[in-house]
Amino acid sequence: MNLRSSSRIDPTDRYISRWLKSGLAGKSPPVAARSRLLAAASASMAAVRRQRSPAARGGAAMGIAVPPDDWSLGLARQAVLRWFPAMVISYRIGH
Amino acid sequence: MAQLVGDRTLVIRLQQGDLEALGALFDRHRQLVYRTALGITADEEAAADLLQDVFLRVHRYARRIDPDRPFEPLLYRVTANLAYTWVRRRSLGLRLLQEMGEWLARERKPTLHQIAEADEAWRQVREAISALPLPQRVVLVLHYLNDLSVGEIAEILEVPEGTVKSRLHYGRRALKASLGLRKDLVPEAYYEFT
Repeated sequence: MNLRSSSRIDPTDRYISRWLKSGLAGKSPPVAARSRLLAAASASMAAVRRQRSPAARGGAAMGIAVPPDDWSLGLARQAVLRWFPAMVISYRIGH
Repeated sequence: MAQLVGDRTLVIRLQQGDLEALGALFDRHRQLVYRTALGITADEEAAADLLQDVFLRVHRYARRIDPDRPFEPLLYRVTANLAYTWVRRRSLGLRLLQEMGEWLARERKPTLHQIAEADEAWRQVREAISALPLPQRVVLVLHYLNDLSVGEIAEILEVPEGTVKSRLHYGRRALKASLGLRKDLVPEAYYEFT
């Protein structure tokens, strides 16, 4: 099996492979690359957390107490949209 | 095999938000990604940027990675795709102003990049590789630098094996013609690097 495989190897292939590897052998990424990556990943995680947080989206968490029926919730929604028209509204019902 | 088990564990930890796992994956595969990116782009700064981009993508899309599959083909795929994009953008001239600024800044004192230019073997590789069309370049780097088979490259690049063979054939022919004049530059004794 080995004999068969090795008989097929073109010396040019070996030559190109060695040439390419030797040209790149001394090349390594900058030492700071690891810390830069982890800092960027950490910042990205923090950004995602901020984005997912309703308080962060609205700037601050605000609560209003209304009776838990559709009519009252509808009125509350209209009021919030009037007061904060440009904001993304999310609802959380507390008891 | 031990490497595969190790990668699997690290990917699972990464999926749970463990940044140290990302660091460990980076330590393990950084040379592979960096040299592949460098082979394709022939630009050290771009390779360093791509190295970071590749692992940031791994971090960002960690949940989509199947830990039970080998990790390296994924890295090759992301590296090749990002390097493709980089080379295309560069060829469109989007980096022209940035490069001009860097060139002006380099006039006063030698930089790491200029020191690397003095490395004759690297300079020759860079010239020969840069002269190849991008699709051939990617296939040659994956095949000759990373020792991947035609089948593996086809899977990574998501192209038919015939396409890989054709690119390899023409790229090899062009490289052979180019190297025919430079055989003196290839070291007589060569030791595999890891």
